[in-house]
Amino acid sequence: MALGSGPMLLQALATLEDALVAKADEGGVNQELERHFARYQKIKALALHPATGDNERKAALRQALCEAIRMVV
Amino acid sequence: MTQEMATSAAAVVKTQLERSLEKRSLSDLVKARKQRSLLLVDISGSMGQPIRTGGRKVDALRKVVTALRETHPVPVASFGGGAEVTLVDTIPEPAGCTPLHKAIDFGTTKGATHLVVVTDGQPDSRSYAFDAATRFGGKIDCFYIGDGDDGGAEFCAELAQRTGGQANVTDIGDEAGQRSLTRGIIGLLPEAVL
Repeated sequence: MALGSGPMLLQALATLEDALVAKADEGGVNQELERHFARYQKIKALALHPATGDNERKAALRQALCEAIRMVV
Repeated sequence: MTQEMATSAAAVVKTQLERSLEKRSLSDLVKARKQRSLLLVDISGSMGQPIRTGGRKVDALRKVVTALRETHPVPVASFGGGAEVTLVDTIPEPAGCTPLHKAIDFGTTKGATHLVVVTDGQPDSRSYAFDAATRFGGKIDCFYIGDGDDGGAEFCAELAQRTGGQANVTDIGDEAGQRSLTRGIIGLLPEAVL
C-alpha cells in the first residue's frame, strides 16, 4: 500500500531546504532572506505539529512548499 | 520500496525537518549543515575495567557506538590502544595511555569542524590537549565516563568551556546510561548525517 502524497511532499520540502542551504552557503544570507525564512519556519511548524488538523496541515504544507520555492528560485 | 522502508524514510525526512525547525535563523541552519563531526573515543587501558552490569567499559562503549551508527553514520576515531589514533568501524581492544592531543590533531588533519570526545580519564598531557584544541579551533563536546567530581571531569569541563562545547558526565554501567549517552551524542550531531 502506498503512503500517499503527504510523505512525498515532506520529502520535497526537505529537498528544497537542502537547496536553500546550498544557495545560502554560496550566495550568503541577507535580511530579506532571513525574514522569509522566519515566516517559512512558522508555517512549517504548523505543518509538522501533531495537534494540527488534517486540512490545516495540508494547507500549511502547501504554503511551506511555496515559501521554500520562492526562497530557492 | 517496501511499505516498511517507505515509512522509515518518511520518518527520517520528518526528523530532518523537525531538527531544522529548531534553528532560529537561516544562518544557523547553514552553519549546522556544514558541521563535520568526528567522534573521538578513548580506548586507553582503563576502558578495560569492568562495569557493574558485567562486561567492561569498552564493551558498553561498543554498544553505544553501534546503536549510534545505525541512524547517524558519524565517523569514529579511537585514541589509545596500539595504533594511537585511527578511524575505526569497530572499537579496538583497550590498551595504553590517553593521547587526547593526538586525537584532536587527528580531527584537525581530517577536516573535522566539531569533535565529540568520550573518555574515562585524564589525558596524557593537559597542556598538549589544550594546545591541540587551540590549533583545532572548533567546538569540542565532552562526555566523561566516571564521577562528576574528579580530575577527569574537571578537565573535560575546562576543555569544553575553552572551545564553546558542552561537558557531560555519563554513566555507561547499565543499559539506561548507555542509551542516554547515545541520545546525548545524537543531540550534538548535525542534521546532515541523518
